[in-house]
Amino acid sequence: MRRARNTVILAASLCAFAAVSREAYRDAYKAWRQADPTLERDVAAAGPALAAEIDRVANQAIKYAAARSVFLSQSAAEQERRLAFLNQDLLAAPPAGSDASRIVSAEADAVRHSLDVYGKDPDRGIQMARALLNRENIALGALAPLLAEARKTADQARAATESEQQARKKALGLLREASAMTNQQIAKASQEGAAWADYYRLLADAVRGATPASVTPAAAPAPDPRAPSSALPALPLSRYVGAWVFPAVNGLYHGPEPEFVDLVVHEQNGHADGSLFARFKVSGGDPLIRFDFAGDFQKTRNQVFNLETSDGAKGTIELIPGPAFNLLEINVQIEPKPGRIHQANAVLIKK
Amino acid sequence: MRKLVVILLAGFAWNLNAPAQEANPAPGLAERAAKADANWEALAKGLDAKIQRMLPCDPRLTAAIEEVSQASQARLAAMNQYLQAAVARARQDTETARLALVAEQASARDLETDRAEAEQERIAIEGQLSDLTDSVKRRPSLEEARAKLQSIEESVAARARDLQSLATKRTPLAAALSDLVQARQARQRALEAQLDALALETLRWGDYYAARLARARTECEITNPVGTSRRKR
Repeated sequence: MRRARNTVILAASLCAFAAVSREAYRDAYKAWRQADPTLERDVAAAGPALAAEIDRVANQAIKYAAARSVFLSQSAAEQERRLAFLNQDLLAAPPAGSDASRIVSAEADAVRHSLDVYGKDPDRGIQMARALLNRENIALGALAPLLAEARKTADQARAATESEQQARKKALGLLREASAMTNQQIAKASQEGAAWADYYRLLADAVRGATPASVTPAAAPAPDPRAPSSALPALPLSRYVGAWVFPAVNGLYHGPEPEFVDLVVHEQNGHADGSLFARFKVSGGDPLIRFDFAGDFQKTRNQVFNLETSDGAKGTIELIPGPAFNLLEINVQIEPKPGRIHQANAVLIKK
Repeated sequence: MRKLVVILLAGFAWNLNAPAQEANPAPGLAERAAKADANWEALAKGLDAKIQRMLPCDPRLTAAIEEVSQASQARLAAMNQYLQAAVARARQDTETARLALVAEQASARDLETDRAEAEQERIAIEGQLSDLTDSVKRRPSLEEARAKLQSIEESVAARARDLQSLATKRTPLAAALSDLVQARQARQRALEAQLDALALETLRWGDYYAARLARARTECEITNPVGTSRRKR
C-alpha cells in the first residue's frame, strides 16, 4: 500500500516538471547528496527532531528522482521522434514504365524498311521524304541507347529502394528492442524514486518512534536543540510552511480548475499566517480569489485556519499534507457571494 | 500503480512528440505517370495500324501522329514531375537518416555517461549503507531502513548493468542507421541519374515525332501537291 502511495507521489511530482535538462537532474543529484552527507551516521543518536531534516533530504531525493525520470522520458520521446521516419514508407517506387525500347525497335524497323523502299530514287519529292526518314532513323537510333541507360538507372533506383527498405526494417527492429529497454529504464527510475521516499520515511519513523540510542545507556540523553515545541503539528512544519504553487501541467484539483495558485505560509512560535492568490478557469463571474489567513498550528495532520478575502468574505482554508513531502492539498471554503468563487480544492507543489 | 506512472510518462512523451511525419509530398504522381505512360504506349503501338490505310493527305493521319506525340510529351512530363518530387524527397530522406545517425552516435556516448553516473550513485549509496549499518548497531529500529537502502543499492547496480546492455543493443542500431544512410544516398544518386536521363530522352522523342510529322506532311505534298497548296490557301 505504501509502495502504491509512493508511486502516486512520484507520478504527481513528475507532472510538475516541465522540460528537464541533463544538467538540471545532475544539479538535483548534487543538491541531494550535499543536503546532509552524515545523515546515516547522525540517525544513530538523534532524537525526533531529526525527522524534519530527514524530510528535507527526502525532498531533495524525490526531486532528483523525478527530474531524472522526466529527463529519461524526454530523451526517449526525443529519440522516438527522431527515428519516427523508420516507420514511414518511401515515395512509391518509380513506375516500371512501358516497353519503350520495343516501340523504338518496331519504329526503327519500319523506318529502315521505308528507306529501303525509297531506295536511291532520284525523284526530288522521294529524296525529301527519304531525308526525313533518315532524321527519324537518327532520332530512333539515339533513343535506343538512352532507353537502355534509363532502364539501367531505373533498375538501380529500384534496387536501392529495396536495400533501403531492408536497412530501414532492420533499424526499426533494433529500435523497438532498444525502446523496450529504455522504457524499462524509465519505469525503474520511477520505482527508484518511490524506493527513496520509502527509505527516508523508514528512517524518519525510526528516529520519531524511539528515544535516541546511546552508546552508554546509563547516561541521560542530551537535550536536542531541534526538539519541537508543544504547539507544533504532528508532521514537520516543512509540510505546511513555504511557498506553494499549482503545477503548470497535469495539476490535480476538484471543483473549478485553477489557472494558477500562489500560496505562502509562514510560522512563528506555533502561529501560522499566510496568503493565497489564485485565478480559476471559469466561464462567468470573478475568476480571482485573494485572501489572508492566520491561526495556531494544532497537533493534527490537517490544519484549518480562518481566512478573510480581499473583499471581506469569511471562510476557512484547510492545509492537508500530500502523500509526498513537496505536495500540499488545499481545501478552501468561502461564504458564497454572487459571481464569486466560494470553494476550491487543489494539490499544490512546493516552489 | 506502476501502470499509472507509465501512462503519465507515455502522455508526457506523446506531448513532446513533434508534429506527425510529413505526408508524402507527391501523392498520386506515380499513378499519374503510370497512366500517362500506358496511354502513350497504347497510342504508339496502334499508330502504324491506324494510319496504314489512310491516304497521305488524310487529315486524320497527321492528327493521329500529333495525338501520339502529345501523349509522349504528357508521359515524359508526368515522369519528370514524379522524378523531381522523388529526388527532392530522396534528398530529404537522406538528410533525415544522416541526422538520425549523428544523434544516435551522440546517444551512445550519453549512455556511457549514464552508466558512469549509475556507478557513482551506487558508490555513494555504499557509503550511506556503511554508515547506516554502523548506526543499526546502536539503534536496531533502523534495520528496516537499512534493508531498504540495501535493496536500492542493488537496483542502482542493476541499472548500471542494464545501461551496459542497452549500450550493447544500441551499437547495431547505429550500424543499421549507417547502412540506411548509404542505401538512401545510393537511391538518391540513382533517381538523380534517372532524372538526367529523362531530360535527354525527352529531347530525342521530340526530335523523332517532329521528323515523323514532317515526313507525313512531305508525303502528302509529294502525292498531292495541288491539294496541299489548296489546303494551305
